[in-house]
Amino acid sequence: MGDVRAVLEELRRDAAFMANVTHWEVLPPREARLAPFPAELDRRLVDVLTEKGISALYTHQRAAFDATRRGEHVVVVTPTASGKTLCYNLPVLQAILEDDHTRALYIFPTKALAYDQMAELNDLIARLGVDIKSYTYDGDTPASARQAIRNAGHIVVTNPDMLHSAILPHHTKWVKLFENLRFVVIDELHAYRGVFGSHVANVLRRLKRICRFYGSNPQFLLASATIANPRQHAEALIEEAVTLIDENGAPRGEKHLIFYNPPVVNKPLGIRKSSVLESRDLALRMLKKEIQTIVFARSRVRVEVLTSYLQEAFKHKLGKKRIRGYRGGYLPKERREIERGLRSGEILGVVSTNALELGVDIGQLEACILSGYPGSIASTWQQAGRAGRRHGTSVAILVASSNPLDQFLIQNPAFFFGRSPEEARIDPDNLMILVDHIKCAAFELPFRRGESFGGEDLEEILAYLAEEQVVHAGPDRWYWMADAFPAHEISLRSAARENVVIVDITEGAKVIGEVDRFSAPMLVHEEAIYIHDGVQYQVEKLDYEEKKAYVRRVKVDYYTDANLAVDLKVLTVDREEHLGSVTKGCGEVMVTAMATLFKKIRFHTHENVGSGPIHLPEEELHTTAYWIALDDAATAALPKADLPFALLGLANVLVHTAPLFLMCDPLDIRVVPQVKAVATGRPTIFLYDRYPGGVGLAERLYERHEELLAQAETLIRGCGCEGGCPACVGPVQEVGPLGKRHALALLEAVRGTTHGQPA
Amino acid sequence: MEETDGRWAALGLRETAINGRRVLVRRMAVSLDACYGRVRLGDVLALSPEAVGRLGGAAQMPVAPRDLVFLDAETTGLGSGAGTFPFLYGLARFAGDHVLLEQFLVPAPEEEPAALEAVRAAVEAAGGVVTFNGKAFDWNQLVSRCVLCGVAAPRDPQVHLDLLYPARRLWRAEHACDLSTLERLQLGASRAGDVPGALVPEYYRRYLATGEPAHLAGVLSHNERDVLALVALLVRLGRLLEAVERGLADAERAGDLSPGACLGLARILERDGRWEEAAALYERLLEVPGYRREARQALTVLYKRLKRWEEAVALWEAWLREPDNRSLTPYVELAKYLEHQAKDYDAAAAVVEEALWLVRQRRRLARRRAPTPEEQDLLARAQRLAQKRERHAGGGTLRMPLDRAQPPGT
Repeated sequence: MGDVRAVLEELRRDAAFMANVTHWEVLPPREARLAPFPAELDRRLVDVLTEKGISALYTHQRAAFDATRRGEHVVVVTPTASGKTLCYNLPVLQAILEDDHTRALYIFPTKALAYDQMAELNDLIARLGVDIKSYTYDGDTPASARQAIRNAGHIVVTNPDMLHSAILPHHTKWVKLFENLRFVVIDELHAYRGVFGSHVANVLRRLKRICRFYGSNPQFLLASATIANPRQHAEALIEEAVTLIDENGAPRGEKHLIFYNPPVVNKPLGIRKSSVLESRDLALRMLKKEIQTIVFARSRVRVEVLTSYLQEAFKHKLGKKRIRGYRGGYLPKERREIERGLRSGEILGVVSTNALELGVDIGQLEACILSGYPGSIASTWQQAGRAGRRHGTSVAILVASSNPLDQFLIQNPAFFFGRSPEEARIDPDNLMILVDHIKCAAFELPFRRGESFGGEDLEEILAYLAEEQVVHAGPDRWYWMADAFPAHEISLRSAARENVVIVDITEGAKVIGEVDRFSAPMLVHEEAIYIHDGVQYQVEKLDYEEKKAYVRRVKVDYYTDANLAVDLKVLTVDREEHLGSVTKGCGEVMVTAMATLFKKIRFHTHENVGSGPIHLPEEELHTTAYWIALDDAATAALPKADLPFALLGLANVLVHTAPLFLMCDPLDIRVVPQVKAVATGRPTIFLYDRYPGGVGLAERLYERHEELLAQAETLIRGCGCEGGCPACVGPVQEVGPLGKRHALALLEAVRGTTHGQPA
Repeated sequence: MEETDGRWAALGLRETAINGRRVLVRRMAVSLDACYGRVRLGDVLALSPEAVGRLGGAAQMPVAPRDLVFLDAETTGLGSGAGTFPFLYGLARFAGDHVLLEQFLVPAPEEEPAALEAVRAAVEAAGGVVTFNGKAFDWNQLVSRCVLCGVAAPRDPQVHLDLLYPARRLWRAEHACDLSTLERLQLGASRAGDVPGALVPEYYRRYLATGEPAHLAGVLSHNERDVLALVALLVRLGRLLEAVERGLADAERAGDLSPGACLGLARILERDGRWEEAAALYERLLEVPGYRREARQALTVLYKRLKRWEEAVALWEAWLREPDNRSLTPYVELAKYLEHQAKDYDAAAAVVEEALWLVRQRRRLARRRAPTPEEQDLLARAQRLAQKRERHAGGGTLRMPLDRAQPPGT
């Protein structure tokens, strides 16, 4: 194992390196805080833990155990690798050992995470030597195994989508589980925010309703990465009072967090050295000293490019397999192998997308390099948390890219360190989402009169559904009566989870990976260089219909990067209103994204060595949007050249403000400023709903237009920054030095006219 | 007790209460001589318990046709899941000199438990249940509804004949195997004037919305036909199985034994371990275009099991001599036979040699370098044969001149 301290010393003495460091934070080490095993803990569990070298619990593990035993709902919020899973596994296993009828349902946001957690749980169970059955129930579970899982599984591990569409609507086949359900474990709680979280909250309402039918009343055990409002979020999600456990008892070694801005290489143009190349060099410095390092890159292409660079540099010294890439499209088996290699130390370096940010167990590494700002404070802490041994020093270096947000952060470290991570918000009573799930719930069990579901007037909604002949109103109940399976028509997530499979036809035909359908036009268009774990392939044919990309191994000195052209068209105007010098509107829009051409980029120099067209159909999103179109009067005072910046600044503020009104995640809406929109013929800002068809976000903004603008103005005025920052109109680097002033002027002009106040 | 609404009586339905819940019941006696399409219903009683049992699967015990109950439900939706609601159950069983048809209709969703109780009593009294796709649908629905309504679920029937499976085995090569196609093509029955199945949920919804029972008239007769079709289909299927035992003459005279049905019967017999009879049926298909390949493949396997080596060898040889043959199976099988049964190592080696020539040719055309797994297998076989030949012949002739020495296709 390498010596991180020595490397840090070396970096400190390296004047060239230090010249680019904008901040160096040292987090002091912390001792472990331990608590003895609870006296009631089953002897067999004590033995198994002792065998694993665990002689006491961390205080948070003990607190979680005690709170669970008191019958409370619990949310545990501690950093990565603090032994969070034991917080729920221990009380669940204890309960099963005490009563073999006990059942538990584990919910993870994705299949991959479920798989990883199963491995750990199964290890514990195997060591216990007791017949406790834990099964994964997801889309990959063979039909032949399902029956056994339904009847015999003590612990069923699944994801919210499967719970929504396969388990709850067929609850009569799961009688054993629901009658005996004692625990519902929800890990990665922070993933359930925004529209997705609002859907999941409703799925949990349905789950609780079915449990009541079978006479069970499960306890919820939740775990989350650091967010600003874990207890509030947990309570919003499960609608119960929750005990918060956030006093981390795990030890931590000394930790360094360094902000690094690549040097300017072209002063007149202000061009900085590539963050990819700088990340490569920093990673090499670590790896050469045998320091186990993880590099986070922002896109899959960058992951592969960096992997290639690092593998090449170590070709002779380490053997290729000691440096690996890791990202969504790798096959599960390959990913398991990499995770194992990282834990055992066999793999020295890994380059990953944010796929490794979540709870996948890869042990603790010594160094972490973030190639580019991950986009949120919470993600940054999550990724930096991958480096951090319980004992000994670790380091995380954030290498800024040239994009404005990165540049702002790296130049204003106080902005980052002075702020708590983002809040998670949900709105389970969003009417469209709520009605969707009321349908699902009515399908699952008839609604009794006087029953409640969510915060809206249930009877009124059911009366509406009865009019539509979706339900039938009996004397004391509503019965599902439509010839439909509602859960199949309702997707919890914005993007379809379809994948394009990548087939290597160099010799025979072998599936080597997959990409999600939305990224396929960018990554596996014909002639693209697809890199997989550092090996290059050229795409020979993309069969879009069959969702297969055929690739052949090649050796070239370039990679490819595709351009995406995004367009927004208004299809229908549902509502529109002139308010002085602006027009607010809302209606249906079509957002199209089309990959148009690709560039060939030479390795290392990153020069452009060619390009080609991409012939693929457009990806379409049919959704609803709200927009503000500005009359000449509103923009009259602005110099024409500054209008785009003012619009962009205003658009950026709205993206921060709107989620507060909608209780959604910033990722649930998108904003598009257009200096001259086709539909309105005027400067227009569009905010659209990212869920296909929309979930009513646009209509709500339309209705609260004035409040929204007032809030936006308050936000800009209240922001302490000088010319603009990511928390208001966007970084100065993006909106220009006058951006903040112009955006404010624009807003005043707009609001002034709407309120009859002088601008 | 309240008098049944005249509008129900007009449909032949009478109200009964079970545990305080209402169910509307319609009972009809159908003569054993009545026909559904070309099939006389009473002929079910003539079927042998063995033939009936065999329709339910290989391990099924014989079951007397008189003890069966035929079950079909009409639901508010085509999918499965807790929200799909069966509102009408049709049951048929044999009583004395007639078929007794009973229908249980749920007059309103809250009354469902009564119908469930009635159906449970009927199926539990029977020796076996006959359905069409009931293993995947009707039976699961029944159990699921009992769970939902807090009614004790019926015991799993000792015998559950789901006619979809044998029908598919017999006729899938020839036509679709949904009930209406089977009725038309196998029973000679027409559904003229019937309510299409897809509209059934709509009629019930209309009834619920208006309270007008007349909307259900078509659904009741649709369900009645469904249940009687089950009886007729059992006759048709059972007869074909029995025909095998009687040498097929009857079936052929009746024009019942199409090549597809022949293939299907052979598969059922093969599954049941009745290899000689299965082989006899496959043999009939050897000269029928479109069936030859499948029949030959199955036959070589059966001949091998039955150790009818001469016939097997003849088939393999004919197979590999076909000009468009691409399969290695006849080579490998023939080589295995020559090596292990006939112990003619020279001849076996020659066959392997020929097969190797074929795969190498193919590899060259595909521009592949590495030998495929099948080529590696053949090489291993060739090597072993060479050793055996050395041991046995003490270095005798290297190669037997075969009349097939010239590789095919040259």
